[in-house]
Amino acid sequence: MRPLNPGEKLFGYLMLALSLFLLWQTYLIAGFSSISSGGAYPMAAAALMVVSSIAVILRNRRQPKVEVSGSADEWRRFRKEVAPPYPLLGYVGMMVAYMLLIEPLGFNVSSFLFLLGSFLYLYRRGVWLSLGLSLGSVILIYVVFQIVFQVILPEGTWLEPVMDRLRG
Amino acid sequence: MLKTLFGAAAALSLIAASGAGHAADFPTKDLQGIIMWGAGGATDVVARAVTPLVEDALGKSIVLTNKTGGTGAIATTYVRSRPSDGYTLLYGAENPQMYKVLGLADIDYDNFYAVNLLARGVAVVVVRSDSPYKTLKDLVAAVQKNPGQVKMGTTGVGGLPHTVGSMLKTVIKFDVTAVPFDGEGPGITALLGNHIEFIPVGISAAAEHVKSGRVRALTVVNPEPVASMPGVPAIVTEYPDFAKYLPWGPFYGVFVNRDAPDAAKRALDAAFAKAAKDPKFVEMMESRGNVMMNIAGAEADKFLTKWRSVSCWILQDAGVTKESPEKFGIPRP
Amino acid sequence: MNESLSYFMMAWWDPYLVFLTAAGTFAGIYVGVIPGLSVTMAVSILISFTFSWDVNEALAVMAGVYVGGVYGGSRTAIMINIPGAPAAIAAGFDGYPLAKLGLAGMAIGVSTTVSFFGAIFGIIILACAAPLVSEMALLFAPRDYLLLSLLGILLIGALSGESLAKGVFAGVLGVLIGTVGLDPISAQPRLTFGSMSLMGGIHYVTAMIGFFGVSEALVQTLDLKKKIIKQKVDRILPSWEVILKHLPLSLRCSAIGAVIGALPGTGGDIAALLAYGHAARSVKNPSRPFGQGAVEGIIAPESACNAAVGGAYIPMLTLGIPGDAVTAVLIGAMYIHGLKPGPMLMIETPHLFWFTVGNLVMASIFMLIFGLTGIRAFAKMVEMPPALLMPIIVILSVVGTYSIQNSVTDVYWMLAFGVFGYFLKTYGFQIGPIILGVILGPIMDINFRRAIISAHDSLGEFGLELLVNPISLILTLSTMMLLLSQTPAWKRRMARRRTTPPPGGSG
Repeated sequence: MRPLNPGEKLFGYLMLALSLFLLWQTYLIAGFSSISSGGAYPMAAAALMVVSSIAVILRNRRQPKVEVSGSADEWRRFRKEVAPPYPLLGYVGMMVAYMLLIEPLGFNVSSFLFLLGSFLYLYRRGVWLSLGLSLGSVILIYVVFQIVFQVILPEGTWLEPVMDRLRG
Repeated sequence: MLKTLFGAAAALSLIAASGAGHAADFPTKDLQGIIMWGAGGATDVVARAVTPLVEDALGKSIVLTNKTGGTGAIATTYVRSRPSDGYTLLYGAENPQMYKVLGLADIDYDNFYAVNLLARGVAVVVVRSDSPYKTLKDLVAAVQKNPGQVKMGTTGVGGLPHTVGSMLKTVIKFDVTAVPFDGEGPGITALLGNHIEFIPVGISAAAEHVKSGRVRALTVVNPEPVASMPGVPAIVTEYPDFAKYLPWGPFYGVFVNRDAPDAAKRALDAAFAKAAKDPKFVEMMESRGNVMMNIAGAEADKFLTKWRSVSCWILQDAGVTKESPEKFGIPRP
Repeated sequence: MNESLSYFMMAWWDPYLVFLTAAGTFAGIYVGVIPGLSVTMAVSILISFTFSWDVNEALAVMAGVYVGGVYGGSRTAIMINIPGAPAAIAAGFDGYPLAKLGLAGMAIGVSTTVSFFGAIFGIIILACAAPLVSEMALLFAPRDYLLLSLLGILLIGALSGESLAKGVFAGVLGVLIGTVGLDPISAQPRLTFGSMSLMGGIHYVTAMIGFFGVSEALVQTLDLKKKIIKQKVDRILPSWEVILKHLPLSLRCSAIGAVIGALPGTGGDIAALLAYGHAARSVKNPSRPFGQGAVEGIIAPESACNAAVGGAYIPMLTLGIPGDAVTAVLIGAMYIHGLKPGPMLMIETPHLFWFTVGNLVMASIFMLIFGLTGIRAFAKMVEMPPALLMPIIVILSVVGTYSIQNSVTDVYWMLAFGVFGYFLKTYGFQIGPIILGVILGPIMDINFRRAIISAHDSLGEFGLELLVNPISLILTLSTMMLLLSQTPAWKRRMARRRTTPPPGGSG
C-alpha cells in the first residue's frame, strides 16, 4: 500500500459528511413512500455512498503514514504537495475569475484575458510572446467555433449595448 | 460552410459600414431563436423546418439554439429575461401553459406574444394490430373489468398520453397502470415490443406505424375525424362528454416577450405567416398528422387560454398539481 | 439484387456525392476531436444548412459527419485524457497511459484500424440483418435495459484502481450527479436545492469535461517543468500480426457495439463501456495490465462504438425509431426533406436503404484515409509544453460545456467538478467510475422504476419476469456470473487455476 497523502484522512471524513448530507437530502425527496418513487433510487445510492466512505476511512487507518510529526507538519506538506499556492491555487483563482467574467465580458474577450494571464503566469517567456500566442489562439478558436461550426457563445452583457450601437 | 463564411464576412462589413446608420426598421440585426426541446424532437424539427423560410422573408438570419431542461421552463424563463426587443424568439410547445400549476415556473404564455401558432397535433389512442381491442369501448370494458391491470404507456406527468389518460379518467371510470417512457417514440417502440397494451400519442408518432398495419388506431381525440387517420372514429361519437375539452393537443408556436415593440411584432407576424403557407412546409407538417393553424395575436391568445384551462384542470383532477389552477385565476373549462 | 447494387452504387457514381461524403467525414473527425463540439449538435446544425439541398446530398454529408465524429473522439482521449465525445471515454482508459509511454501514435493507429473494422462490421449487420435485429431490439423490455446497465456498472470493479471502496464511492457519486434535476417520471425536483438551473439536471458531458479535462489540467500545472515525453511516430500502423491476433476480440466487441447501437435508447458510449468491460474480463494476458496501456483496452471500445453507428441505423431505417441521439436528429432531417421515416420507408422509398449502406461504407473508407494521414502531427501535439497546452484545454472545456445547453451555470459546475476531481485523484479515487455512474445511473433509475411499475409495483412479479423471458434470463444469468466472479472466494479459485488456461470468459 502507498503511504497516505497529506490531508487524505481529513478528506475521508469530509466525504463521509458529504454522503450523509446527500442521504438526508435524498430522504427529503419522497421519504420511504414506495420503491418506485422518485426518491428511493437516489436514497439507495446515497446510502451506498455512506457505506463506501466509511470503508475508505477504515482503509485509511490501516495505511502507513510517512514520518508522523504532528498536524502542523501535515499542513505544511499539504501546502507543498497537494495545494501549492503557486501554481495550483493561483491558477484555480484565475479560472474562477475567467468563468465569472464570461457573461459580462463575453467569451472572446474573457478567453483572451485568461490565456494571456495563464501564459504569463505559467509559461513565463515574456509579455510579447504571450500576447501573440493568446491573440492567435483566440482568433483560431473564434474562426473554428463561431464561424465554421456556428457555436453560440456569450457575447458579453457589458459589451452587447456597445456593439448594438455600433451596428446602428 | 462557405455560406456561413460569406455570411460572417457580410456581417463584418455591415458592422464596418454601420456608421451610416439606417432607419429603425425591424430587423436590423440577426435574431436568436431558442428551442425549448432537444435536437431531433418534434419542436426542434418544426423550428428548423420553418426558420429558413422565415429568414428569407425577414432578410436576416435566425440563429437557432436548443436550450433544454425542466420541460422547457429553462428556455422560457431565459427568453423572458432577455430584452423585449423582438430579437429573441421562443420556439415552444404546449408545456409552459402548465408550469404554474406544476410549480415549475411562475410564468406561462400570458407573458409572451404569440407571433404564430403554426400547427397543432391530434392525439390518437393506439394498440397493436394483434390486440383484442377493436374499438375504444372494447378497451374501456377491459380496463373496467380488471382495474389497474391494463398497461398504458405515458411520457410522464403533464405529457400528452398522461393528459388523455386523465381525461378518460374524469369522463369514465378508467384505472390503468401507467408506464412512463422518455417520449412518444419510445412509447410506440414499447407498444410494438408488447411491453404495454395501449398508448395515446400524437398522430405524428403513430401515423407510419398505423399505415404499415402493425398498429391500430382506436379513436382520434378530436371533435371530428381527421384526414390523416381515415376510418378512425372521433372520440366524441363514443363519449360525447369529451366535447368540452376539444380541440386539444400538442401545438407548436413562436413567441416573443409580450412587451416587445409593435413594429417587431408586425414584421415577425408577417414573416411567419408567409413561411407557414409554404407548400413544402405545409406538406411536411400535414404528413406528420398536424392540423395547420397559422394564427397570431388575439386569435392565438384565445386558443392558448382555453388550452390552459383544459390541461390545468385535468391535472388538478388527476391530483398531480402543486398549486390549484384557481390560485392563478384559471377557470374550469 | 441487381437493383440493390445499383442503389448501393448511387453515391459512388456521383462525384458530387463522393465529395460531400468526404467533406462530411473530414469535418466529422474534427467535430469528434474537439471536446467542445458534439456530433448531435453538428448534425442538427446541418438540418437548417441543408434545407434547400437534394435529400441524398443532405443524407450523404450527415452520414459522413456521423461516421467521422464517432471515430474522432478517441484522439483527444488518447492524447490528453479528455474524451472528445462520450463514446470515446473508454478509449482513454488505456489510450492515455500509452501516450504517457510515448506511444500515442501507435494508439491512434490501432484505434483508426479497429474503428474502420468496427464501422464496416456494423454496416454489414445493417445490410444483412436489419429486419431481424430490429425485431429483436423491440423485444428488449425495461427490465432488460436495467440488467444491461447493471452489467455496465459492474465495470466499476475493473476501474476502481487501488481500492474497491473508492471505486464504489466514485460510482455512486456519479449516480447521484445523474439524478439531479426533475424526475423524468413524476416531474419532482431531485437534489436541485431550489435552483432553477439545476432543474434541467447536470448533463453528463459537463461532468465528463470537468472531471477529466479540468482536473487533468490542474494535475499537469503541478509539474510544469517535467520532462516532455518524446512520442515515437515511426510506426503507427499496427502490423498484420497484431491485427490478426486481436481479430476475435474486435469481432466480439463489434457485435456488442452493433447490438447496443440497434437498441433504441443506448448508443456508442454505452457500447464502448460494455465492450471495455468485456475485454477486461475475457482477455487473460493483455499486452499490459488494463488501465496501464493495454492495446486490448483500445481495440474493444473503439470497435464497439464504431460498430454502433451501423447498428443505430437499423431501427431508424426499418421502423423509424432512432437507435441513438444522432439518428433521432437524422429522422427529423428526413421528415424535413419529405421522407416519412417509419416501417413504410423501405417500401415507399426502396432506394434509400441501399443508398445509405453504400454511403456509410464510403464514409468509413474516408474515415480510414483521413484518420491515417495526420496522425504524426496529432501525436506531436502531446509534446507541447503543459504551460501552453493546459490553458487552451481549459478554454475548450468551457466551450464544450457551455454549448451543451447554452448555460454559464454548467460552466461553473464544470469548474467545481474539476477541482473536486483533482482532490479525488490526489487521494487515489478514479475518475472512470464517476462517469460510468453519470451515464448509466439515469438508465438504471428509470428502467428499474419502469420495470417495477410494469410489474404492478410487485417485487415478486418483477422477479418472475426476469426468469420467464429468454432475453431477461440470459442477462440475469450474466449479471449473476459477473457478481459472483467479483467475490473474493471466486477470485482465489481463479488464481489457483491461472496456471492452466481457463475457458473463455463471460460477458
